[in-house]
Amino acid sequence: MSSEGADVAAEVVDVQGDRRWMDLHEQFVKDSKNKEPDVLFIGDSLIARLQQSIVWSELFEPLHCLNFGIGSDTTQNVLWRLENGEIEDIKPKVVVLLIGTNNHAHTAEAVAKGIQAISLYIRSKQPTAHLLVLAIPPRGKNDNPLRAKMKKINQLLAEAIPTIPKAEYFDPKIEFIQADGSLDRSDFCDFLHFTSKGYRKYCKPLADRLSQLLVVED
Amino acid sequence: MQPTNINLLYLTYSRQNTGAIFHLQYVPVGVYVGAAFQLVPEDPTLERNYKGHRDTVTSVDFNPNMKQLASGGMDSCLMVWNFKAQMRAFRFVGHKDAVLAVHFSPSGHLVASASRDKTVRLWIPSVKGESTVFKAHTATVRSVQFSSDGQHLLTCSDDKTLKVWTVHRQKFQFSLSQHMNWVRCAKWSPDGRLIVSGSDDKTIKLWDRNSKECIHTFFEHGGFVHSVAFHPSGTCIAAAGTDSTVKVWDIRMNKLLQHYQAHSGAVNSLSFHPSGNYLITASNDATLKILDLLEGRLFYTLHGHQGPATAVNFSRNGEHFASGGADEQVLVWKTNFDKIDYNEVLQSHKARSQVQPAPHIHDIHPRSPMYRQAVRPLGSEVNTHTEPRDMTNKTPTVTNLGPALFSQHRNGGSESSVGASLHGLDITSGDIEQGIYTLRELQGERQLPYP
Repeated sequence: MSSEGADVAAEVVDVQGDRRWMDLHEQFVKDSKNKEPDVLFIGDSLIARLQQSIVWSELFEPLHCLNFGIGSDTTQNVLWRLENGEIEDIKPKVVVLLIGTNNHAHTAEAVAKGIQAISLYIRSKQPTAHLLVLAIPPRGKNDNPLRAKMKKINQLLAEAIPTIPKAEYFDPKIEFIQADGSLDRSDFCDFLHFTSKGYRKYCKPLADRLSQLLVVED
Repeated sequence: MQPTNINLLYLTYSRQNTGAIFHLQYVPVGVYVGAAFQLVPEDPTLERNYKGHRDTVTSVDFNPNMKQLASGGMDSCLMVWNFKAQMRAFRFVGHKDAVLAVHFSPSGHLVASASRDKTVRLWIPSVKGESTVFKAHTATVRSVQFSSDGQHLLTCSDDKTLKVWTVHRQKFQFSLSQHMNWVRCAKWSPDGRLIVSGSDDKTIKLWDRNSKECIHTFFEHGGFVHSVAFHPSGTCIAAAGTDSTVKVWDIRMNKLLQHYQAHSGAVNSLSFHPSGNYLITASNDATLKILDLLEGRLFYTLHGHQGPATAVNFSRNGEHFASGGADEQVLVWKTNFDKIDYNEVLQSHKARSQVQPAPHIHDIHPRSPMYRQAVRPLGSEVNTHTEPRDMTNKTPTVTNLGPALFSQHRNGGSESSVGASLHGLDITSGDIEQGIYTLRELQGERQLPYP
């Protein structure tokens, strides 16, 4: 694993041949010109799949949200997307960022640096928007090195993000790890991705925080 | 010689090398009776293509006097287009953010505009460009409409409320506050006793304007409601929004009457034909669709916009309709199909359906010139009237007008520039019952309308 490079923007190269990532990015750029979101979600599959869950229409649709999540994205990919038009023309009141679990090539310190770089970029591009950086949820059925890594990244974020003006490290503080150390499949269907039940637990505190922030902005 | 019926109406676009001009060609529909080719005047035809907005067009409305068309846009401007040839168009500058709705007063002497800047402006649509402004809501104002007697204004907003104001002096009357999310559209019933509103809380509410109560809520589970309207009879309402369907409810029985899944994208705007027999809709799928409410089916699909069609409205007498889009164009169409005896229309449609080949007889669709030639019968005589009409848009000269030059800013802000021209006004004297105002009468003595 490298201790460098998670903060360097990089696009996803289309090795499979269907151009999905770039097409999605281009759609997001278009959406950023035409839509009127109060809240922008950006990140990896944990963000992308939220929109397919019933929790999206329950908790987030009424808040006028846009979802720019793409599965398998790393910090470099999100940085590239942001630098290439995805937050050019919109003026959301809040940006929600969840990224880092796919940065397998980087140490926890490097990933935290990457997330910081993204946060600074968002704040510079959207001076009036509040930024929420979400805690990365645990993964894997039982304890494993990635659990420790995500915990370490979260600790580093908890220290670093509050130093950025109008940015907030947000941990829903849901204890997903059970007494025997395992994750429940009814929360994480494949021990990585949330089920609707898992999303509801994770997102309810988030939706409450968003409602607070949106009222204040009014 | 057997009469052959051909009905093909299409629009083609070609972008000239400068990229600046849309060149529309129009080939009208016709019928061969004997050897003569005659026009069947029942398909809608495109009459004008106005360019001047510098961003998405959000709203269009005809002046009841039929001499002008107003349009609002994301470029913060109100445009007033004059139908008389050679007459210049007016661009009214004054709003500080997107204009989301425009509406002419019943007398045609005023235009109201609603904006993201939280204000409503009342304009006198003349070369003098005067307007009066008031802060109507605490958030984006989505919609504004005069009552049919011209005395009141109805507004609605992202602040989740609807408000009613007098036109004279813009005095706040009351607000309706039961929606839980942005209210996108609100309309008066034809008799002014009811109000219908559509919201991002996925409901359509019916209100009694006298008791101020919400008398019924219709649930639109599919998504946000973008547009609502009363049927001219006042007995039904139509609503459409992000789930791309159009629904018609009977408000006496609170019953869903019709449900159209014609569009493949969110529906942004709808308008009833004054006869009550047709509904026109504008959608993100770039089409306008005309729904035949008597038959309960799709009647026409019009392709004229490149990109989302965002606004559509029939003229007061139904002979025309106008549309606006994300392509910054304002199109004016002649309805035509409302003129024919309905039985005649059915007869000619039956005749059409026996003709080979397809396309679908109700689709009006851009076709390549190659295709068109293939369908024309051989050896036909073509009336010169059927030569493509040059629809090159001769963009009218635009005059920029606005309150910075003429009127006082009324929301307590620090801007106040009064043009000398306010004092030497040459306008018809105030006759408030007829809704004709001078700017000074409009303004009167005002406090901020806020409760």
